[in-house]
Amino acid sequence: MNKLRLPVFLLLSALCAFIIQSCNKDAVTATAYTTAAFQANINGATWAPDSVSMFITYNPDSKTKTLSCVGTKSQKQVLFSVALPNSGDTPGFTLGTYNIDGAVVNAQYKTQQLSGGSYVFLPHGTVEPGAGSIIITAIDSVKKEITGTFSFYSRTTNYDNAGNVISISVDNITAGEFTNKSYIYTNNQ
Amino acid sequence: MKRVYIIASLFIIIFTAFKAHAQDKAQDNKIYEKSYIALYGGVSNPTGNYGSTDYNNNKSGFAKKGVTFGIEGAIYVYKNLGIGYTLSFQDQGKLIYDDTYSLAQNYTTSYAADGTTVSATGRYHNWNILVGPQYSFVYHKFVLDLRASAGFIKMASTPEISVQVTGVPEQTAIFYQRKSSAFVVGYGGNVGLRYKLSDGFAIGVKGAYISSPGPSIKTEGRTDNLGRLVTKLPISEFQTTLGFTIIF
Repeated sequence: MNKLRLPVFLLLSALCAFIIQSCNKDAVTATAYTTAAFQANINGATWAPDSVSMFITYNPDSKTKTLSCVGTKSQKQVLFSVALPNSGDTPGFTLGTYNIDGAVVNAQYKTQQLSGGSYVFLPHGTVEPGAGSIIITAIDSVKKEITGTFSFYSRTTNYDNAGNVISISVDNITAGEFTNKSYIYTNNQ
Repeated sequence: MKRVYIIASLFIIIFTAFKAHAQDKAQDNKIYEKSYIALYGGVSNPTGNYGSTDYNNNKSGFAKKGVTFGIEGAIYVYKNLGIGYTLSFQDQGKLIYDDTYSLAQNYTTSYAADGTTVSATGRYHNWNILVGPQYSFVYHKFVLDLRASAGFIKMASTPEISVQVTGVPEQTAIFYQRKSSAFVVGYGGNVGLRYKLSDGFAIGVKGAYISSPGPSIKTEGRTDNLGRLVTKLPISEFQTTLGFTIIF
């Protein structure tokens, strides 16, 4: 029995090593998206512009107040604007849902393209009336911060040389949001 | 520095005890401790940087509480002074979802990215091979073992981490924090209490601390050095174990 003690010890050690070495080694994966104050999902990929301009401009002649926004990053640009007729000269903005109509509520999706020897942002498709909306959910006219969401799609129709439609592609700008985003109020007077 | 003091203190205690016994018992005919070998197992807790999950600390290891087992023992060379040895294996877990999500969140912030996907594969496995002086105090059937030790730590594996950031033109490729396997120096100390069941067998409990500067870590595929960059993985563990001892 005494002669067996050491071999039994070593055998137990080897067994333990085998058991532990075979522990779960599966991959653990996590994805985290930006928590930027302004972001959207463009064609399925999160997009957070590193440059955002947000303005509310009052035109005293037409008594129109216009919210306009431009976000730019990675050769992509998202623009939208909402015009409020019969407004006063105040830094606030009426909360509500504004459907894109091509007249007072507009949106555009642009990409950087080569044109005339230089890269410029040009519309990638057309955002037609009824293609989406901009929703203003909160505004602090003292701090000049605005919160809301937006989504729309931009349709591109491709033609052959004879002018026949060969394909239609759609860029989806979804889940757009801006949270307590600072804006600048100006009076065009 | 605290660890060095603790281990240095262990050395001093061992040699002081040895000297005192040598003087007091120069003429006695007491039977001293016999050499032994023990199979033990228990819990190994990563401490300090090794167990840290702080993204902003480049030495954070993300290691987890795991199991350890091994063989240890001592060969007595003069009375109750011996050379102790340890050969042990440690599993310190792997990154969990919260870890990869935290890394993904923070890399997204560091790179001002649209998003980040972090994937971690593999576990922390290492072998400790340590030797050092041991002194044993005997009281009836109880034996208190004090040991300071040094040696090598073989990193069998560390997790491999891949990071893919999106929306960053300067870092379009996935970059990898490669897994590491290397021999590195280690040191530590332990305190054990054995209870003799008979002349040939004993059971015991032990607390051990092991530390090492750890292996170097390589990162590949990184074209934009923003955020966390790991170059070294310091190791420190505190282990609590139970053992079964054969005395020979």
